[in-house]
Amino acid sequence: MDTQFKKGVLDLCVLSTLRKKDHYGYELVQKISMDIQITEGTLYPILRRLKNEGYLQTYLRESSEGPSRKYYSLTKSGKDKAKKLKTEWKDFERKVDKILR
Amino acid sequence: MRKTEFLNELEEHLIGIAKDDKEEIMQDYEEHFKVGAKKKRTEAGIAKSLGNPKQIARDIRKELSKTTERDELKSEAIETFVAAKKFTKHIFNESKNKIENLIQEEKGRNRKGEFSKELWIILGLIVLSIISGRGIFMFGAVVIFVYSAIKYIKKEKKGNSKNAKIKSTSKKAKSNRKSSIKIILSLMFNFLFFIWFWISILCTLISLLISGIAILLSGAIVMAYSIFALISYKTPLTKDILFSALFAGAGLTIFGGLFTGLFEKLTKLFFKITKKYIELNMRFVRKWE
Repeated sequence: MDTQFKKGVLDLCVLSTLRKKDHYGYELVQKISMDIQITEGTLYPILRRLKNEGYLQTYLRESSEGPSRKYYSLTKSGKDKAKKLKTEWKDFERKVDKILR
Repeated sequence: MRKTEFLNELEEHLIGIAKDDKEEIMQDYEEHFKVGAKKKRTEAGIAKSLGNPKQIARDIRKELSKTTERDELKSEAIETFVAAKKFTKHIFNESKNKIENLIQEEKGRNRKGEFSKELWIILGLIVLSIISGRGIFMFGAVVIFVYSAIKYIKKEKKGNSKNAKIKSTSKKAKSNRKSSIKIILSLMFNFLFFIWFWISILCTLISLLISGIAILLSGAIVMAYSIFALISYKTPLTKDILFSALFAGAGLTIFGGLFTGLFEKLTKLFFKITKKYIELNMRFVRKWE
């Protein structure tokens, strides 16, 4: 998949994944990098940026398998942003489809 | 790549990032490794799937610092800077190791004694050249100096090649030879240039010392004469003149004493500085091996 597509769409993917449920770092990175082939390491900076921008918040949760893990969840503005990005994507998809036909 | 290697490499390249961002990101990666380990993945496998730490650092800088068009150059500059830092550290550690090895080797040999013998020959030649006014002795001193420096460096290199711990490729050996020549040349110029200052300062100090002693002695002589004259009554001078002469003599003696003492101290300091300077030069030669 082209890198330009991937970069534009990562914010959307991250926010939408978190919209469904909260994830911890490793889990989120694995999930997204499985579907969209990106190097896992590049996701953490994106998460940090989204947090700085106020779309995400983090909390620690005890885990049965060892040390407590950092969980990511959407803030109110994160939820709004997720919705907005999804609409933009759908819109974009429609337009590109039209050209391709 | 192992976990600590990955994390260190990443952290080193995170220049220009806010402290909390940096801390939190490093924690994120730590946690990633920990969770991966729990899922029975190897450190190398986790590191590989995370990607190249230098590239990740670039991405982090892009996401988290105020970005401008100069980003590519900045990344290059940062990576070069980190590489240069590592290289300097590496050279410094290697030199330190070499010196430590040499010191252990030299404990048997009396290398220091060898070198100072040549130093005396050189000094002797310099003095000869001053006294005789012939330049040939000076030239001889320089030749002996260069010869002993080369011999010294060659001996050290021999000691190095015996040591299996030190890996040297042919490139390094070549650059070592080049730098030894550079060092010899610079020491030579050093020597030729500073030796004149050193000699003139030395001569000044010597003459000042001699003047001090002369003043001291003349004061003493005046004192002695006036006392003798006062006692024996057999003198062309009147008593009052003799008395003033006595005190003038005393004053001169004291002054001469102080004067000589001062310059004696200065001369000692001068020789201490000279020794330190030579030491520094020797250390400089060793370090750049």
